[in-house]
Amino acid sequence: MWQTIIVNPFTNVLLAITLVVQNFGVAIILFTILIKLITWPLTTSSMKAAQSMQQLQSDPRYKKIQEKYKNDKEKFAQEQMKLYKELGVKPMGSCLPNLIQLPIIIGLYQSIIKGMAATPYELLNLERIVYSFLDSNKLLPLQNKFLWMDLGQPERLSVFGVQIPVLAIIVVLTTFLQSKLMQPPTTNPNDQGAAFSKAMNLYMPILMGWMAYSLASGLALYFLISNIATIAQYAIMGKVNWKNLFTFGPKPASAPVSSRQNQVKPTKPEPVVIDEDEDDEEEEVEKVGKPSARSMVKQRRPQMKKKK
Amino acid sequence: MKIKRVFVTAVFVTLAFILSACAMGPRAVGAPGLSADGEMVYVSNKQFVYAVNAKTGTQVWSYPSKASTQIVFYAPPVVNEDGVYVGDLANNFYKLDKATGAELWKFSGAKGWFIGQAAIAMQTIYAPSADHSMYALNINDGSLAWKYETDHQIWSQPLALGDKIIVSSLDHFVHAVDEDGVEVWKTSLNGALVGAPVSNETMDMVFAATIGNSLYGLDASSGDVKWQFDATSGLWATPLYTQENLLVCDEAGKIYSVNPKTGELVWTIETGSKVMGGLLAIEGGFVIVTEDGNVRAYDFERKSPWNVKLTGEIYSTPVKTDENIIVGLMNSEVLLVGINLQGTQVWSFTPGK
Repeated sequence: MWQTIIVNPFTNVLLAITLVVQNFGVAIILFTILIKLITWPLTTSSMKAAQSMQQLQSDPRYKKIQEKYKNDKEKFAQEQMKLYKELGVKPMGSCLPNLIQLPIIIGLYQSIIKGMAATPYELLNLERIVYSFLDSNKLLPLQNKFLWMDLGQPERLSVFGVQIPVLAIIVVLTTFLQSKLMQPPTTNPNDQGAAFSKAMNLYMPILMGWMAYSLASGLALYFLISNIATIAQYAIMGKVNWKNLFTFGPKPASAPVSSRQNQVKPTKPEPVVIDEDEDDEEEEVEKVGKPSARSMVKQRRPQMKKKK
Repeated sequence: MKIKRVFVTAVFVTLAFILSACAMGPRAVGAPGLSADGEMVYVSNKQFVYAVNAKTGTQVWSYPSKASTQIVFYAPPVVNEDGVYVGDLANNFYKLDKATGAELWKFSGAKGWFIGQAAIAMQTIYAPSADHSMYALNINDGSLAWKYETDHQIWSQPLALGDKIIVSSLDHFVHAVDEDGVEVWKTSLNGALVGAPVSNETMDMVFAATIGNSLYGLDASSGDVKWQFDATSGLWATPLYTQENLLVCDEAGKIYSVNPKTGELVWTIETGSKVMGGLLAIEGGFVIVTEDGNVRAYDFERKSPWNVKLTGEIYSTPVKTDENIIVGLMNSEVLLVGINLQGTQVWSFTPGK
């Protein structure tokens, strides 16, 4: 089922591109970019939802709830959900598009592995899934040489007899760049998300670099192009935080220009009144943060009308 | 906060460990590679090469002593009186002691996997590699004598033919080189060559099958195409030249007997099953293995005296010892099955049991 719906069509597209460009390495690059373009709307949707969540965390009402129920997680969760509902923020809004993308990305990865058929048994299995309109005899097996690489082998560039894993190094750098540039600004030093992002910045490049170092260079090429395409995609959408590149210490509270457009508008600080009476909480929360909330979701929900 | 950081770090370290474990080692699936001499069968499968007693099916030794994720074997070993020669997917080629499996030498100069079986001629091993080269190695110490480069991977066993070495590559070419590695001729055919080239007893012809459905008869001295025979589907297995019969089997499971001099069709047999593993010569006939686990004997009158159905799939060419036919299986609990020449299964071998 998985093979028929995802992997086989992907593999055939990859083979068709290879047939046109006559180079498997170039085909991997083009196919990765193609998949990025196809998943663009999902990425955009996920990014917007993540941004809303990020903005929500700097909202005074959210902070107030956080402070008030810091010792009652259940109640905090309830109030948080109420706030989500009120502001039209979908907590799963950033996860869902990513989840939908996941099979596409896995399919892409598997189709590249399949295309690199490295044994007679794998080549036979590849030949059997090639659609009839592609001339498998002319196409297979794919030529695995690309630039200095053998796409079926881990990549090393020999410079004066020293074997340098150039692709793995570039994958480390681009993964680090990607993590840094896409890290949203945070105002809360105790933000769990920020802590997680920080850890990601450190570990993901190492992890991806290790995989690029040890896996076939065809896959490392895919990692690299995927990183570059993602950075380019975010840059085109104006969501790259270039300032993050030069920030290595604690994150500044200020947001980058590019993301300010969607940031909560600085509203007049209204007095935050915390009523100890739990029955009035809902009403009170609404009262305290309403202007800020509206401005926050204004772009996302233009149909929302102001309550007076 | 510190606890959270420790937790996040622990999660990433665990993830890195798991993913890097997955990432390590060659990612490939292949069929077991078999070879045999009179009493022993040698099989490359996943992380080991096994020597198995061909009469009893008991393991004599395995190499290496401990499994490594970096070392994977699928190339069929080649055997002579001195040792067992085999390449792996970590780009190494080994000579192993025939009696113990101890490593006698290792050649690490290749830049690609060893998928195909090597060939031995005089004091030289000819090892085909997926890095597009055929390596000529000194049989005594594994030192490189020369290498011959092609434009694509080499998956099939070279053929030592007089003073020439014939080797086929996946770029549709059959190459002939002399004993110093200098190209004598090369001929382009209509498809990739996965099966090995074979010759007749007078060694004036070379027969090569392509996955482009064709069997070719080439002049051994010039490489000129003497004739071409077209099958109905891809020819993945090595053709079989035995007792003046030239046989080949296509992927759809049709066996063709072709006149080796003219390329004309003599007869066909429909096996009804897909075939990749190919054919094996036995006294008075041949054996064919099909993907769905059938091992079937035929005589040259096209009569089938016996058929054995095994549980599993067969993608490897079977081998023959003094008394038995040995078949390698995939997707099965057992790795090898020994069948006597009367068509009775006499043993099975499962690694680690």
